[in-house]
Amino acid sequence: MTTVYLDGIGIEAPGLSTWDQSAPVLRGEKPFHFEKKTLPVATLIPENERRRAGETIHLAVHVAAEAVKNANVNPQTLVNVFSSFRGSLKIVHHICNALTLPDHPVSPTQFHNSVYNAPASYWSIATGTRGPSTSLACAEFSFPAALLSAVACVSTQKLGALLVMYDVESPKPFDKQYKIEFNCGIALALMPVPSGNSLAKLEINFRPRRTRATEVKSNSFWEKLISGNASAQPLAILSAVANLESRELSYNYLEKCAVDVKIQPCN
Amino acid sequence: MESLILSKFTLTSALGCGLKELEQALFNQRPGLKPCDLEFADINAYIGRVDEIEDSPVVDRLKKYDCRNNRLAQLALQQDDFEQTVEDAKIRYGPERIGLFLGTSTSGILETESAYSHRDPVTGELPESFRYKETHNNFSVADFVQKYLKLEGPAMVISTACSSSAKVFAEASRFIQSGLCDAAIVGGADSLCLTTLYGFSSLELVSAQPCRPADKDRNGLSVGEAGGFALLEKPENGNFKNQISLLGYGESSDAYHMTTPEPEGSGMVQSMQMALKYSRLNPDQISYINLHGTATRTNDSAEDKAVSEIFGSSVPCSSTKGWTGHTLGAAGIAETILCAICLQKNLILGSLNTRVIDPDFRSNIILKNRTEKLTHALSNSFGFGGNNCSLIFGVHS
Repeated sequence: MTTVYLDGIGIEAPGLSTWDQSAPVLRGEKPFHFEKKTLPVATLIPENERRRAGETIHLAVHVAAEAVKNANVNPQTLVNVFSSFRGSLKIVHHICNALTLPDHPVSPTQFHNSVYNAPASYWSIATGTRGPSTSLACAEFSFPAALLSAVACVSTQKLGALLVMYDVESPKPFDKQYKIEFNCGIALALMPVPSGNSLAKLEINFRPRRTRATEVKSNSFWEKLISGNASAQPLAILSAVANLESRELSYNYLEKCAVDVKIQPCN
Repeated sequence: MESLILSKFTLTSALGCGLKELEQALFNQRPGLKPCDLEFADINAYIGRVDEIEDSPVVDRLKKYDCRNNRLAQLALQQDDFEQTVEDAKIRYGPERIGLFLGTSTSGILETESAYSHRDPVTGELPESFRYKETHNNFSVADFVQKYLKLEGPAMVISTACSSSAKVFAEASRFIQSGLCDAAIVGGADSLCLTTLYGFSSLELVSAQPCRPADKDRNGLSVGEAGGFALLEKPENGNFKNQISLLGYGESSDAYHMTTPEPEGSGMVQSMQMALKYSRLNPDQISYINLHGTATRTNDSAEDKAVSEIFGSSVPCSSTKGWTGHTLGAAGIAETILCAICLQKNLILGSLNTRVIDPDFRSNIILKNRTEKLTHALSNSFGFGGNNCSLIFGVHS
């Protein structure tokens, strides 16, 4: 079991934009309106790079910037863990389409943006972050996998970790299989020690053979968001944090494992 | 960090399937690169191709995962009794205590490329038979390998372009140190596809000849494919004797540019220095450096500055990209295994195809294979976006 402190949150999802706006909605103080919005522009990215950046890059960098701002932490001191269910299928579409044309006119910009670590790289360029940066994939289990990766960094290297989840709406013709219904990005600043900014203490435990039922289900609106975009999975944690509730929850991880998260509010 | 041993490893690349063919190629100076003969690509380039893939479909029970990348992973797993080693490890640790950390950059994108050439001319839809999740999604290769080996521990794919399967060693080390698993299968697979051949061409980074790392006339890389795996664990009774060990890792970001490394190599320096620190070694204790050495103008120049800043002009260095091609997401595991063979055989590999070393270079580039007592080897892997990883391996006599 590893303990980390959640010091900052960044969020961009339908009806949930910024942590300040989302917390009252998650508490039920304000109504939730499902509303698909145009993607945010990550103004942190230098202008030259910003023009070349695609949707996933803007989304990931935008929520990452909010999380480090809310945590009041220098991003250059954090280890980065970025993850996504699908990466950027729009770029895959452009490249694969170009490859069917005479002379295979692949755009060099599309090609370098097609690497899975492009959002993390734009983040490091935008913030001058020179430390370790991991981009990992685990399909629909990407969030629990990224959570384990982040807490393993925190516990072994005694550094804070910035965990960023991002997925955008599936483009045609990929919207037939495993459709992602809307854009969602969530970033968490996870620190090794508590501070005045700590929102919650998280105890993370990897359970190799899950036996008991996992993933408590209710009919809350955010669970519907999770079913439409796997990158919304941290909302289960964020709901407890917003309500200042102690909660224990489990994420199914791969076929047989679980990642347990015990949440205790700090204030 | 706590040292771990590579108790078993295997590599399949253009130099052959498994270690025996690999060692024969290395000792007989048989290069793996040849003019591009892929039936689906018409490009003036040399490639490092694994010829056996077309005849090696994945096992029936996992046939929905069948694609070039997973075939390559399976072919690699079938060499050198690696599967039996995993079976033995499962008995020792339990299948739920063995982690799986694999690197890839393009996964099975070749399947999607092929599906695009068979789209419905009216609706634009992809053919019914196309299986994105099992073939192309970045997790596909770890999903496939976990099911193939019947492992039940933590699993993930690291995809940081050309540093992917070097970074899996760092990730596995942290998972073992954190107690999330007791041992790990690490490695990766990356296979030839149109995206990388034409994508690197669009950036004018592909050479029309076999790549010539560190050469004054180097003019680009040669793309290759490879699959490789290692079992990473703590040694029995703490006995490291004659074992190839992972002593340290370093990771950094350039924070500079998506495709061009920071010209002075400062991110690369940071990565190598972290690996030295974690290994508790001084630069003069490194006896061989396997360079990232892609044979592009910018990479080799920045890496030379970084290496010579730390190691001066004495430590023997070479790039093995001229042997295997640049195997991208598999380069980390391929060059780890080449370092392991060098340490076992006291062999320094020459930088194949390199004729005249760039006169601006200060590092000690070795052109011809030679034997020399080796104790520690460092391997560099640097990816697009400035994602750097350095690994240090040792052998205790």
